[in-house]
Amino acid sequence: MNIVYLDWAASAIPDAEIIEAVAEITRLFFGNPSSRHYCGRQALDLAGQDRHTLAMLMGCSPGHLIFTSGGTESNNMVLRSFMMKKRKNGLVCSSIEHASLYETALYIKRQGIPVAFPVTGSDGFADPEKIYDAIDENTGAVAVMLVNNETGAIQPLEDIVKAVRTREAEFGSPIHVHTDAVQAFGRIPFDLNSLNVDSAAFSAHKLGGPKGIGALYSRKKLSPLITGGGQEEGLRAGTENTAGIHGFALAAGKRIENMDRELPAAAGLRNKLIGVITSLQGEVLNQGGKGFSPYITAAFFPPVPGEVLARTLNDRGYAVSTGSACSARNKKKTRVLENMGFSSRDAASALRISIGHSTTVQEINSFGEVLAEELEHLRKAAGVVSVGS
Amino acid sequence: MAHKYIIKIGEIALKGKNRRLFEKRLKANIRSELQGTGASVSGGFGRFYLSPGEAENARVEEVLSKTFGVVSFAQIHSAEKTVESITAHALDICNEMGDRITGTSFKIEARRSDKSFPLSSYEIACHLGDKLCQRFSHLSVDVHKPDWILSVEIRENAILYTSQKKGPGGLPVGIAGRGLLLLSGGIDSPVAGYMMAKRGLELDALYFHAYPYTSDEAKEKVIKLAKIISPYTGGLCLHVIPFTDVQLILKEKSREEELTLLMRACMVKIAEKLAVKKRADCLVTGEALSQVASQTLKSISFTGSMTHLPIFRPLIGMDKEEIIHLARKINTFETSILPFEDCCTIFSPKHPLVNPNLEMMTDSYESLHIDAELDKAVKNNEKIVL
Repeated sequence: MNIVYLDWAASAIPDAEIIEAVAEITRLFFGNPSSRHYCGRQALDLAGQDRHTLAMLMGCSPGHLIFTSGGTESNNMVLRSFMMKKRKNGLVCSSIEHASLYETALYIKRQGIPVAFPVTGSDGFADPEKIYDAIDENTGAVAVMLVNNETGAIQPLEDIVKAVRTREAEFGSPIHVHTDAVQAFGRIPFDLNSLNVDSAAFSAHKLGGPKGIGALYSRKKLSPLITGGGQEEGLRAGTENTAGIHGFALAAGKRIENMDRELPAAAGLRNKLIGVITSLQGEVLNQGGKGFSPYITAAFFPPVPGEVLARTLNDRGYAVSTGSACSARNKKKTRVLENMGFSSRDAASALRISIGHSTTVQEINSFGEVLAEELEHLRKAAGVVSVGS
Repeated sequence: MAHKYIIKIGEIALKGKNRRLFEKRLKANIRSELQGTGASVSGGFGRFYLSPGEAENARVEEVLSKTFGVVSFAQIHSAEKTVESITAHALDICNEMGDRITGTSFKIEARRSDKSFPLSSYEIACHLGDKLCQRFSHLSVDVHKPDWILSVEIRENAILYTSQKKGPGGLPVGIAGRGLLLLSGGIDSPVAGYMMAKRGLELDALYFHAYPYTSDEAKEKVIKLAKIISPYTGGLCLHVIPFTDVQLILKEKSREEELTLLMRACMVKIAEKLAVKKRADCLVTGEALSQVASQTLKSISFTGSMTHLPIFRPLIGMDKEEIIHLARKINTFETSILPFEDCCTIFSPKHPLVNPNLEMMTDSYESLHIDAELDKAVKNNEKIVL
């Protein structure tokens, strides 16, 4: 069956040339970067070049970048590092974070460490004032994502960082600001320097690179999550994934190089998609699209459960998801939307449609047609008599 | 050579003239689970002996720990019926146990059915206790709270064993007839199946699948649950009933507050039709009184009225916590709580009836004229043998 892939936020379709390059590097640069011989040095040098490339693309110093297995590990490393501090280890975490941050924050809370989850507005944006209020003298870190993985809402990080820095000055001690930039880097204009955050998490496979490789930027010293051979300046042990790192650098380079073309194209497709959804009497969160990544659209067709709709669309060859793919196998599927104030019924009707650089107008058009057909069946089953009349 | 096992059987030894029948069934059930291994079961009158053949100890013990009718079991050492041979085996057992001995105090439990043996039960115990204490200076006898027990039985042969393991008790599956279990993906119904199998009921199971309104993962979950309880039920045949069309008709034709009850009524009707085909004489459900709207007294009266077959509801008086305790014991709990729902919210009314009128509900059901659709669902069932 031909699949129309509309779940790029879960994982992007890998770029063929990048995967080929990864295979080539795996074959040619097989040495362990920790080895002193030629093969090891060759691998080490390549990883060093890729680190420089990525640091430049992110807007940070290469010395502040360590390679990890992906966003989840990077997010865990920051939060768990703060958990180990004896003083000032309190955490403020937005209530719409990805599970890798939210569940880790809940775990930290269960250890008796104060964790606050400031409420997010129903528009999907974290409120800098509420974050300001949630910070107290014990707060050591604040975590707010840059682009929400379920709604596409671009968080007002600049204002949030300002609010944190104000609080920092009031309490006279530093507060670490971490952002999960997994859905932002390579998709929307991004520069760590201007964001003024202390750490950020990245993942390669969201950009068309390989899975199992990501990075953590941190300008402050953190505790390692994995200890061993002292790789990554002792912060992340384990033989470097040289080929994965190279694929990550290539994918990021390609996305950023093409952003001038890809971003407006995505916005056009998103607008078309919103047109399709609203013509079917569906609701979207990003009406008008301002403040949202064009790559992610949350649509609602209550009372039709998003899970059922996604299933029938899948049977017709259209891959979409409900909420975060990372949470689709647990009971907290609708946590982000419910934390935004959605009723459980409306939250359960959410469908996440996420596009990528190779998504076409034809795909959106055919998706719209199939969506209309499936909705007609499901609405009839749900007892919705005449939609919109 | 692999040691034989002694299997103690409890309740079935008390069943008068039916005892032989029960014993035969239990032996057959054990043999069936160990099929292909050359294992054989002999004996009677409260004690069976199992020769494992090619079966590994772990497999034998897994089977015995899940075969209803088995009260306890242990590996045995067979000795010649002489004091010397029995003593030598007792010393060997202690040697073999070595570091595995969990404590230093022990007790000898001796039973002498063969009265021609020169020592009485008490004398056997005294003799062996004395010999063990002489050989192993760190051991001491404690007849009240021993750390471990060495059992000696003098019957046609002399056997010795320690470390008795518990079986599940109950009655051999199949002895009480055949039933049909309504298996959902929840916590309760697998436990209900386990409990009825424990009373000797042989089971088939059925699951109502409503794709796309319920996912294939939900179906996989039910298959997994059926697999988990299948060793207790001596195998299980799961019938997956396609239920989507029935649900859609109900949704279209029935009053919203009656939807759940009418759906349950259709499920019972389908179960009855399948039971007749499969020669099952009862239905089994995981209902517990007042747990949800469809399990209030009046709701149960209505759904029960849909069949002439008896419906066994072994959980009817149990709290959820008690049910969960049992679900954990039989290892179904972790699977039951996997997040794949067995009913879509579209078909779940906001305010289902909790106090239905039997006559009105019967009228509502009859006005659906849904029997042909139910027959179609039964006909199209997918059979999965586990």
